[in-house]
Amino acid sequence: MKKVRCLLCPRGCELKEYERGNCRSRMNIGGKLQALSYGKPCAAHVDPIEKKPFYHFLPGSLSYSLATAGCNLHCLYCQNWEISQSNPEDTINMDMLPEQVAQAAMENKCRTIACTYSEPVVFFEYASDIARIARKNNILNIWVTAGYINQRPLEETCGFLDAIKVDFKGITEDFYQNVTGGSIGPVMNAIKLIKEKGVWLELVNLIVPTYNDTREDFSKMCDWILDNIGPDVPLHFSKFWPIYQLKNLPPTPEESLIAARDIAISKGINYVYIGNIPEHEGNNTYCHVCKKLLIERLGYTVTQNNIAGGKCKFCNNIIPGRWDL
Amino acid sequence: MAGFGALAIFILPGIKRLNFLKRSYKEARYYKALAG
Repeated sequence: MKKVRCLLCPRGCELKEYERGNCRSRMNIGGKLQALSYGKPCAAHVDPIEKKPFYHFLPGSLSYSLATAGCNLHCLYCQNWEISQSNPEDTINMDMLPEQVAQAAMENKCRTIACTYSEPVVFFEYASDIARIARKNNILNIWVTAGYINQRPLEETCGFLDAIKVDFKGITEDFYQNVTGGSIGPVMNAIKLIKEKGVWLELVNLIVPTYNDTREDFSKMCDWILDNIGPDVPLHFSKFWPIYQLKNLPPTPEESLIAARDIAISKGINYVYIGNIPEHEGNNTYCHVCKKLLIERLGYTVTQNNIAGGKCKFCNNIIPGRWDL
Repeated sequence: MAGFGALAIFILPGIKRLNFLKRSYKEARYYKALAG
């Protein structure tokens, strides 16, 4: 029996022959760890980049978005649980080699390729091969991830990615253990490392009623952000919808989202957004110096953009992000 | 009827899984073989 230990994520799964990891997408076959979902996306769509959400990275552009089955977390409220909590052989997959993904992105006039919907960490090899080919074709690469990954693979990831959105799911170890099945330490380390490596970073916090929605939670999260990665990393508070194993909860009340945003702004985070409430001013970008409207959004559509050359048109302040297509 | 049931519930998924597992895969980058 040739055992292997996966070194990709903090779980460090030790696998006997024909055993698969906690993520469902890696298996010990003949003493070698094999990535089962390589070249087999179960979802591929053309999305606005605002849907990821990225608000400070190529606004108004399209992103070729794909996922394979599997995830190394098991969030009780997962919005895409049908694919994230499935084995790769149980989803309806396409055959797409990395070259074909890059080609599809170009044909659909996408400026970026996004590994999203499930968890790119568990299809690391596929995502990295896609990214290398995409770069040769002048396409940028982005990930939407929970950041539950070990340091060495994350360092490699930072080398081939242009932007990363991390789901910062909660601010307590209890929340991570009870709701996601993971642990908060590795996620915090990942967020700090991404920032240190200079890859564009945005954070999302999905507010789940009764689980992570107290003023103390918001306050602690903002303090951690300010202490560790500074005030310029955009922070999105997002609305929860009852789904999967938390159907018993109500959707996040608008007041919670507004309270979270108010706390973050009052503490000094410069770019704070509210997700999933169309037409709320929390969808727009305001200059943190002159407070004027920079980017107006209606749903995923940019209806006004007052950033030129990366600066506020009104006061010439540099706005953090990547703005030019 | 029981034959069809067995076919639908056990045999077809089993064949699907075997077909999947005999494919060739990409070797993972971050792992180590354990002794013993």
